[in-house]
Amino acid sequence: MPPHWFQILLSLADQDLHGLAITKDVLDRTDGQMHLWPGMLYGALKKLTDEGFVEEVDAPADFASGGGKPRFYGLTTAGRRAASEEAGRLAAFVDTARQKKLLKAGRTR
Amino acid sequence: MWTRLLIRIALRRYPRDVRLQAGDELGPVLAHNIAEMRRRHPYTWVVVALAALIRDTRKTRPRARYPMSTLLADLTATRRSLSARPLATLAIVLTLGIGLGATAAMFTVTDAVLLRPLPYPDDTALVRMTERHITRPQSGASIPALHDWARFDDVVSVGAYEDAGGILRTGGDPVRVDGQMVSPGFFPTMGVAPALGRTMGAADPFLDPNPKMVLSDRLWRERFGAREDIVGQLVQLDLHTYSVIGVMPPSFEFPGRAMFWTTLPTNMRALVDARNLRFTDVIARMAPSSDVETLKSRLHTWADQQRAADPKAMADWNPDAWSLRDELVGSVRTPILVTFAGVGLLLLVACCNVASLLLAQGEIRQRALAVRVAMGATRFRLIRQLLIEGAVLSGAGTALALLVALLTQRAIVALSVEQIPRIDLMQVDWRVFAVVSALGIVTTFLCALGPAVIASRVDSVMLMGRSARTTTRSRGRLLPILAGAEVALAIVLIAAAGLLINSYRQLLHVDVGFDPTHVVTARLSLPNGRPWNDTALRRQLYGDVLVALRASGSTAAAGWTSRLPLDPTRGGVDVRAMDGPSDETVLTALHETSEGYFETVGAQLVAGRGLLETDRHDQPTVAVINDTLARHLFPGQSAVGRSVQFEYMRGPVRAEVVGVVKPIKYNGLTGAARPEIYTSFRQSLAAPMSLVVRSSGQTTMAVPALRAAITAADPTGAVTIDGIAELGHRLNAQFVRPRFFLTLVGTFGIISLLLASIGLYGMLSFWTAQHRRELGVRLALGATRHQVAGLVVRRGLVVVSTGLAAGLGLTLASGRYLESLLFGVPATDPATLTTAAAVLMLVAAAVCAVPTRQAARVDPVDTLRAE
Repeated sequence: MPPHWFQILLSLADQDLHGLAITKDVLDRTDGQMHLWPGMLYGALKKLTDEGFVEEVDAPADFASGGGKPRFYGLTTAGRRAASEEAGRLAAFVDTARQKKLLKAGRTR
Repeated sequence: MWTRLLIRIALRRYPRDVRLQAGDELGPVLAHNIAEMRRRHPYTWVVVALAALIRDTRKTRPRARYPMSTLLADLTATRRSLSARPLATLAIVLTLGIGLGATAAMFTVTDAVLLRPLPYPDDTALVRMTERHITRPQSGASIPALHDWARFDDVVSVGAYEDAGGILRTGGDPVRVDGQMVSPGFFPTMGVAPALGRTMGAADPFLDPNPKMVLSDRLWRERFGAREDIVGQLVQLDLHTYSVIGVMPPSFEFPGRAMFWTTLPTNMRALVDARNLRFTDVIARMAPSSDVETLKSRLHTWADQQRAADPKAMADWNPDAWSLRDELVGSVRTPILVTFAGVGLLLLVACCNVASLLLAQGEIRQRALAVRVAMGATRFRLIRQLLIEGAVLSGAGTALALLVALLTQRAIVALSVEQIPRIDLMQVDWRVFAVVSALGIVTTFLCALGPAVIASRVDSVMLMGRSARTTTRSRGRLLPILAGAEVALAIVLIAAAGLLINSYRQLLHVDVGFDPTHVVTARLSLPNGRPWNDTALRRQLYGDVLVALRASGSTAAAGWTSRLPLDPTRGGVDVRAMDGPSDETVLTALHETSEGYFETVGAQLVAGRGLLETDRHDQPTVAVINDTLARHLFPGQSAVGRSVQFEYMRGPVRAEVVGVVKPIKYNGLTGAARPEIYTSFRQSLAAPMSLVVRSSGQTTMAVPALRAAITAADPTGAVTIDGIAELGHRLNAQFVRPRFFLTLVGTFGIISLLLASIGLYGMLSFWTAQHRRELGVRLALGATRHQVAGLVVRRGLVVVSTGLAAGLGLTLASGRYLESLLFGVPATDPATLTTAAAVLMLVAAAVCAVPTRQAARVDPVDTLRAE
């Protein structure tokens, strides 16, 4: 799974978000390493939708838009499962790194 | 501000589906990312953001499945389509290569001979000036005339030059060298600076009491070892001593192959004031504002003034002027231009061939082109694609053409170097490349554009599988027209080649009046001045040589002559018959010869006898005349035993005609026989003599005997042998130029015949293939195979006969341009034209046979089934 897909799924894991929010969230989480430019973002969103991992959802009731009508995206069950599998895969890599003393036990940096 | 700009750029670059997906968020997302960039890269954020944007938008563009808009795509498509049809591609490239190559070769010839400037500064301003006798072939200028002309406004400077030669004794064995005596104005007029030292100039006296010499580069290197200190050295030529003042650069040997130039000696004083002694050649440099015509009219005015002042001096003379370039290349200008026109015809044939090949290809690729149209290619794209194909083909053809030109260059020079002036300057250089490339582009455009436009007239309906009749029609009309044009142009070239062949045959049959087999010639040089200016001594020498040669076993005959066969004669003496029917005088060339001369050169006596050893100084003067003179002086009578009189040397000479000889050619093969009179050196001797020896075996066998005889007669070694040559070579040289043009035009004729045949074959083959269905139907409906074959034959016949008629018409109309190349054959010779037509029809018949057989073999069942 391409890294930016995983990041989008991560963002959507606990809440439904619109495009800009996903961008901000990913930027924050990756400490400014991953910039989701529109082509990348919306291309990924389209493909994720085609794969069935993400679906377009209604805006939450308490959403106050700044003018436009942004589209909201939420995780599907399949998407949740895919994200879990990917997370597990990545966790296994972290364990191996720990065994090889690349990471101190318990730390992630 | 930058942010807004970047957003605006981005908004335009993102494709529709991304914009749809993003909805209203596109702007905010962009703004956020850009702001982030700004935060992280405060100084370079614009560039970084722009780069990221470009990367991002690139990823979003759909990958083009059919790249319709790049040149690279076109070239790839070209490569594919050309390699899919290797034979056709090869045919086109070869045709273009040969057509352009022949044109390139002819251009280099024309360039070298006619276009390149002479190696003198501002060469178009150089003119020759002279006075010509009204009736006789005599010309020359007097020194007073030279001074008059120097004062013309139209003339910047003039120089006189006169043949001078002698035995050079300094720097090695005595050797005969030829050079020029020149006036002080000569070198300033020519305008070429010396490589060493100086040349004669205005500061030098007209007649120089201190003789000076300028050496040619060749003489300086070969004789004086290119020594740097040559200036100031003394050189002995005959009995005179010259002081060397300079050396000319290698490119300067004017006129001819002059080895040296000297000042005019003071003993010429008697000549410089005589207006009626016209002995010198004149070269002049015109003023920038003047031209040859203006100069000529100025000369005529001058002549009128001279006549008014002294009628006798100018009585039979008219002045003349012509450009130096005309003098050097005038005689080959027309033949070369005509041949160049011939190669132009060949190029046209090649173009027609290529155009028809491309047309046919377009037809065959109809389906593929229709597919592309269906895929969305515009007609413009198709035309562009086909033109690019044409450009690639023409590029390959041009490259081949240059190769052909390079390869043929050496052959052309070898074929003609002796007889075509300046052909050794022939060079395939950037100008040739530019001309050929330009021609290549033009021909491509002409040949490929039409077929491209026609081929692109496809529509998707064609995909339905029917053979499209509508578009074939325009192709169907063009191919026969092109084939017919090729036939027409080819017949012009074939007819020209035929005429040249006949002309050459006529030349071969010219009776030259002598037989050069096993004959060797040698010119002898005797030093000027004492003791060899004593006539008796010279007679003794010549006589002794003949005796020695006769005694040697390797010579069959020997003789002396003042002029060798095929040596052009100028001037002469006025001969009158003493007891003939009329008192008219005939301008006759006089030859001092010896006994044995006629036998040696194989001249034929038609009456009387030749000269004998007994025709001595103390005997009555005798002469042998040629048939032409005999018929002039004694028409219808025998000339033997009659008396003639002429002015020679110191006074009138009366001679008895003892024999009549068949005319010998002196003025080229094509010149008419002139009156000639032969006297014996034993009775009158004035001119330098050449020895002719017929070997009793191989020609070279005579050479040692020749040398031995001369050494025996002159043990002092004062006599120098100046060039031993075979008489046969002299005769062969006469054929070089006609052979050169014959080879060129003949080659063009053969190539054009080949191309026209290919064009004809292609046209009929194509027609047969296109009309298979119709032929099959005809056969199915009861037509015989003969009738079907007849359709093809008729078609071919119509094209060939139309082309033939047009071509013959063109040949007849352009006949007079070919006249300059022909001898003894009129340009409209019916026999030759008929033969040319017959050759073409035979070849055409052979070529048409194959498509005819194909048509006859069409299986009606197969063709109907295929529909």
